[in-house]
Amino acid sequence: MGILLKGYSTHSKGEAGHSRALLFLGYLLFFSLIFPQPGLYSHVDHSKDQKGIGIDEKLGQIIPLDLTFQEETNHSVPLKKLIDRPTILALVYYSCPDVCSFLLHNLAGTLNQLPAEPGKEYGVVAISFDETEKPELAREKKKLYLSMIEKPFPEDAWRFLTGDQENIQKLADSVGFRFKREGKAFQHPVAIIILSPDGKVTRYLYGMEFLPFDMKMAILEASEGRVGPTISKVLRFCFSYDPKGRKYVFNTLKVAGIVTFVCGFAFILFLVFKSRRRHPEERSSE
Amino acid sequence: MTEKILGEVQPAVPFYKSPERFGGMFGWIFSTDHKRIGILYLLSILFFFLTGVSLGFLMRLELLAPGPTLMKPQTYNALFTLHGVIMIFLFVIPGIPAIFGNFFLPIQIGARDVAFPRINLLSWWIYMAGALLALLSLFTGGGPIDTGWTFYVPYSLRTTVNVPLAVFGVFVLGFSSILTGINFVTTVHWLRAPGMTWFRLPLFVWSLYATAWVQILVTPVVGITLLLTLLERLVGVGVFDPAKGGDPILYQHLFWIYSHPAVYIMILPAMGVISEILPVFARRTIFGYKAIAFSSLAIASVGSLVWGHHMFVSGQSDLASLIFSFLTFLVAVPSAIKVFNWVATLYKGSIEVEPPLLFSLTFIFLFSIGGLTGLFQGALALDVHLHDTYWIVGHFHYVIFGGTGFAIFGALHYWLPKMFGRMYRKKISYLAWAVIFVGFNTLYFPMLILGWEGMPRRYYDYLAPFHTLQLISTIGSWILIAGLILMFVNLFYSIFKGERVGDNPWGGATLEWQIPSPPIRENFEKIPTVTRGPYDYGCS
Repeated sequence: MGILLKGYSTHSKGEAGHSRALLFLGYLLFFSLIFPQPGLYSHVDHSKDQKGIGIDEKLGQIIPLDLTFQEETNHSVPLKKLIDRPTILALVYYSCPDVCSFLLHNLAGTLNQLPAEPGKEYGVVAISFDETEKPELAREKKKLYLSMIEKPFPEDAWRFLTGDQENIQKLADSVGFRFKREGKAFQHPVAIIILSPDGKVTRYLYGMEFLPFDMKMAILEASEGRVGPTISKVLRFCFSYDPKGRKYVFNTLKVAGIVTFVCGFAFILFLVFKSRRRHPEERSSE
Repeated sequence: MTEKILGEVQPAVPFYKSPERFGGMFGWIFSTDHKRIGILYLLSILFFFLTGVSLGFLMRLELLAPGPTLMKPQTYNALFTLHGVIMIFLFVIPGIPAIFGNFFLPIQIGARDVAFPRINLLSWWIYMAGALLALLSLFTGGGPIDTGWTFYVPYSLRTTVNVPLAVFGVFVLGFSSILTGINFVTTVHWLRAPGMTWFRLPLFVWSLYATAWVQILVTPVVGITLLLTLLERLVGVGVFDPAKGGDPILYQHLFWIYSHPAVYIMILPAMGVISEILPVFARRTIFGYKAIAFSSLAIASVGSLVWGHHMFVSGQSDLASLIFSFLTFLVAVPSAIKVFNWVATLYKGSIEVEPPLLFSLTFIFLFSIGGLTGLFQGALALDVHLHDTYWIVGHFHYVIFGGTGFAIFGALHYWLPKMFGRMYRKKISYLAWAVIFVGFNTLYFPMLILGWEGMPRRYYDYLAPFHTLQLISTIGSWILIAGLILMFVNLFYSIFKGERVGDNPWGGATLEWQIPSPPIRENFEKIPTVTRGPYDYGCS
């Protein structure tokens, strides 16, 4: 965990003092190249440091379908009643201030464009891993997210469940979803899980944005019970401060790319429009 | 091609005898003469080529029989990594542009030198510095790298061997590549002789021009990627390591954004060489000049957008895979345009099968096998089966060795008599070609079958059913090396003792054949005025 936080705080540093920091990095780089110290970067398994949260993929395993959860209507229902077709499972908590709402919002957007019939070809189940959350809140959220889908979408096709701690933990363990309570909030990975009609884990889709085409493929696979490889393993974690901290890196790359192209373009303009250098004798020959 | 270049023929002083600021060896390593720099590159690049060949030879020897034979697995891992790094970054990427581009680009466009002669020399120094750093990494830190030439994270972040220095060496090499690119682009724009319009440029120049743009635009990407890898390794910034919230797929994207176009940096100049040799030995103008010239640009641009086909099984999105697969099939079109135009050039020509032509024809044959096997991998479903197998190794060697390698051999046989004014023994060349051709196919064709049958690449050991083909492949490596030795001894001998030949032994029409062999210090007594196309045999 410590390393994780350190990794993030590096990105969220302000712009000030960057040049000095770069200079320092330059020195550091130079000297570590000249005198490599094995200890500095020897075989370290970082995954142990963040034991609390993450995803251990359980592709091909069947989740316990007899676990019961509360529906938005306050009825208790076993999972096997809900998962009888390819199912998109989202583990979230409804009062999440950050990424969970982004995730559900984007999921609604993707479902809107998904070329498959909800309720028949697939179903969606969101389950809160916060045992203190009640069906009332789930009902509110259901109304909110269903209203974002512009095409006809049967109410039964997207369930918002809540449950008790024991059932939540069993379900989370069965799909390898490791989360941690921190005060009122949680630290947790951000991903959706695709289940086959018999409850087999067939795919993990990481991150918060999903392409309709990828989702369609995942559902197709799930309907055949085939286990698919993991798509773009951008593990995003939810923290109380800056969930999109890595933007910094992408922005650096974007800027570098644009600068390269602008320079290239300026170079070609310069070459074309600036008159050619001519050797004196050459000029005379023209 | 020119009206009259050598009005009054004086006893020409060859470029390697003309006085320099310093004498002896310093006259070479501090010379800004593009021809001397070309020779410097020739020697250094051939040295690394032979090093790479030796490493490959050792790998094949280890695979002679199942089980441990010569070395430990870790040594084998280091061998295939070094073989890859040396062959890719020190031999094929600089190969043709740095040797023949430096030597012949200015001559072919009628210039006295490149646009920035000092930067040209600097790029050789940077090349040597990068190469030395990469070699130094073998003996310092944790020992020789074992990551494969792609330096994939997260392994390259965690292995204890000396990755930082090797990666830094490759980073430095990139600057050499960029500088050469800028130099060539400027030279082609600014220093063309009067009358040398864009469509009178020899096709070799077109291919170098397209390549130079790729070098300028994509090399910075690999520079940034390697720098980020270094930062992550040395100070623990989490960009690529998933344990720190980084994304290993991001590394693969960035790496291949450079390294796929780099394959075109390797092959485009080779295609230029072939377009140069074919018309000379078919004694007729090239078929489809503009189609070949523009297909170079098409390959350079579309080829920069296909990198994702290296990642079909890495877990990129299906949509991305679909698009990359489509673009991959698309890039086969301009490549095929070239092949068809070359064949059409030969049609009804009065063909003389001299050694350069023989190597060029072999290029077309082997490159076609390499190109067509590439389409197999470009198909999404089939790639799942072929990915990371010997098929890939076979395909890549057919394209790069069968392609660029044979083009370099062809170029050596074509231009060496111009560079030194002496001819090699042709009979030995034919023999060497035959041995190399047989050795090459014996070595690499079994790899295609092995991969198809499921032999994974980069493995130290293999199962008994693979033994026969592995054995054949290893025997092929011995034949190939015998042929290479024969060829290089013959060429090397000819530089000093070969029979003197005139200025134009092949009857070429481009500018380099109109000046003395070997060329003089500034190429031309008087800058020529060009009045016709590069392959015009009708009106000279």
